Amino acid sequence: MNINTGKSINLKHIFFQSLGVAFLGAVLGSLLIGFKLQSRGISLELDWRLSQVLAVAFFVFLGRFCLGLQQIKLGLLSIFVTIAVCAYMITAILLSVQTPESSKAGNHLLLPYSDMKLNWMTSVIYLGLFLYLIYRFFKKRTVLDSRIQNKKWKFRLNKNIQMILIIAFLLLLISAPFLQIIDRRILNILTQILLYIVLGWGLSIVVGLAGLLDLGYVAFYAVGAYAYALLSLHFDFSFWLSLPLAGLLAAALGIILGFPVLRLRGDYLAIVTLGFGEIIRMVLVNWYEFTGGPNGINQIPKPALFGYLFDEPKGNGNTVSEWLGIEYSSETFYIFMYLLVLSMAFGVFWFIRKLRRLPIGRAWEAIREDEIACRALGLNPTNIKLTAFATGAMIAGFAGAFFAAYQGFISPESFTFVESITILAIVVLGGMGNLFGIALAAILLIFMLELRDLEMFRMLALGVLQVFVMIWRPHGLISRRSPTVYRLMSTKGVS
Amino acid sequence: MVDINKQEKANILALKDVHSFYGQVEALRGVSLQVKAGEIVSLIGANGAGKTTLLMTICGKPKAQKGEIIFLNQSIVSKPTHEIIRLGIAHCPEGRHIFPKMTVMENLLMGIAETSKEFFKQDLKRIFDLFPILYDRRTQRGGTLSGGEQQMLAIGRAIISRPKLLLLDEPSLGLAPIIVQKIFATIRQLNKELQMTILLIEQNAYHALQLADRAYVLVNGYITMQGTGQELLTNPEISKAYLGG
Repeated sequence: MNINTGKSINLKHIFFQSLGVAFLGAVLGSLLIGFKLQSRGISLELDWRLSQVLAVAFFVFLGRFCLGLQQIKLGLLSIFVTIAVCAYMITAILLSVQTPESSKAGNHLLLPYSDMKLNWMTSVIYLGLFLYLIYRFFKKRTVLDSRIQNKKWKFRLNKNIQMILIIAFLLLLISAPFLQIIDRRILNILTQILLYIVLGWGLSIVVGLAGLLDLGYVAFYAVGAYAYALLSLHFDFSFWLSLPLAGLLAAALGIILGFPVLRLRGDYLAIVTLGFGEIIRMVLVNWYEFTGGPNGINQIPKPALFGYLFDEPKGNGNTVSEWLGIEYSSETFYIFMYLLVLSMAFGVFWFIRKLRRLPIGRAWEAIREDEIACRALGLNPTNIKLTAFATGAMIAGFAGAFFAAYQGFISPESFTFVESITILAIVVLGGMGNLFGIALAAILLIFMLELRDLEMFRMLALGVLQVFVMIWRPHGLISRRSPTVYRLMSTKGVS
Repeated sequence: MVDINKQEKANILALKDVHSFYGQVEALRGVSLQVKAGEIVSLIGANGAGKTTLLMTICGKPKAQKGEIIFLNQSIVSKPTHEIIRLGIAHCPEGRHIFPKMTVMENLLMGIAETSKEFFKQDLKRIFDLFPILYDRRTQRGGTLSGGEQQMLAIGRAIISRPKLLLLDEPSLGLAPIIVQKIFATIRQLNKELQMTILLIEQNAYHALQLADRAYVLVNGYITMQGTGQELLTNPEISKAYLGG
């Protein structure tokens, strides 16, 4: 399809292009995996792992070459190559996993990387490549066919299949904590991701829809968390009573901050919100009597399920394990919290989708697009911005309450500027107003931040990822903006 | 004598000695004008004469420092912009200002304060009857429309809420001559068929005067001349200054 770009693409051209990309990959890859810290006696030394870098270069080269082949109508060949690589990698991985420790050394030779994660990554990337090539292969065909039929070709699944897929996905999400492979650590990461997704969605109202750059979003998160912690400790408020209060408090703070601040625009607004975030953190650190200062707040009560506690049974029958008749395990609580956060995520998702289709949601987008036009249409920009700010803050407040309940311990450490930036990065990477994109970005980012094996390089990788996203997808991973009115469009009676 | 009928018609909008400032700079130095029901009133003038400022002042941004603005027997000088607009003034700002990433449909929706469905459908039908091209383009993003279509969208969005007075700020700005003709034809149609009262600001003096029932000439913040459109068209001074001889 790219043949009509004017340049003639031939095998040689593709070969050298792939070499260039492979070189680039090797350079970048050597930063990430080319070195290994070894402790020899008393000194630390850097080992230069040439074989690993060569493997990276090889796989990048092969992948790019396959993509090139697809362009000169050798798509079928590249499909075979990619699936072959993928199959080889997976078999080798499975072999090395299944064989006992003693004979492992031999099988390890089959694998290009010594780190298992990289092996997995390579196979997943090749699987993705394979799927993409297949998609391109068949798409081309269909386009040709459709030319004959003079019909517009569209990739759309059958409604029923779509429904089944969605339901299956939901079931998977709900049943995830009960699966064998999900241990305590992974469950923790999943819950974290969910919290970040919710925060990202909340911020996407402010930044994505209303276009107000907020660098102090984490302040509202902190307010929600401290609201729950303090209310439950000092006033014995239950979680379910504190939750709306936490949201309301955060929203109220959003409005109080918004009034003086929202007449500012762009960079100025960003600076002021940044300052506001720091003020809140400073208050938390220094108001020792109230917030516990840098030590934070300990032993925040766990939320109860219909009045039953997630504690060790003491024989008076008010714990969840006795009520449900299951064996006591500390894990039950984390499963419960995961499901709780998951349901909140669904709630927020539904809420934002609804809001977007209401006049207020449309007004938020309009204010981002053109404030003068909004004024000319009789909208009050200040009110619109305030509602956006307050709604975003409220969602952060909810998330904060969940966070405090989940961790059982909060301190100002959790609400630093870096958190604000992480959430903002999620929103920007995901594609401003797009909920699915933001969820995807949150998964990517948090996984990356949790990759403890890559240690200090994860920040570098994060930076590289952001640079590349900005080059290739400047509007975020998913930048599609779906219109907010559907039904009225198709009304026949209108015309 | 000719204007006996028009005298009886009520003033929709009346400005009395309005002064308006940008910081220290006095942009309007005592402007008085009237717009009566069912009229097209044109306001012509050179760059920097204060035409756009006049419209903005009517809408309350910047506020008139001195003088009075009366809309439907009600002083609107001290009201905030969004309240003035809700009283029934539609402002179609200079440079169109449509929402580029939103669809044509959403753009139109933004013009409606309350979305009661019955009303809404009628209003939409009215706009689509007026501008059939917008119906064809209703799922397209505003930014992908051509200049003329964008101008139609801007006008449609302004009048969808059934305003009592339409303020048009340079609707011919940056459009091809043939499109300009079309836009002016539409403005006449709005006036004749929907009895819309229009205050039109234009650089394109010839078209504006042809269209106008009455017209004012604004120079450096003063109204220097007024009369019917035909009177001003034949005025030698005007033709020298604004019509190129």
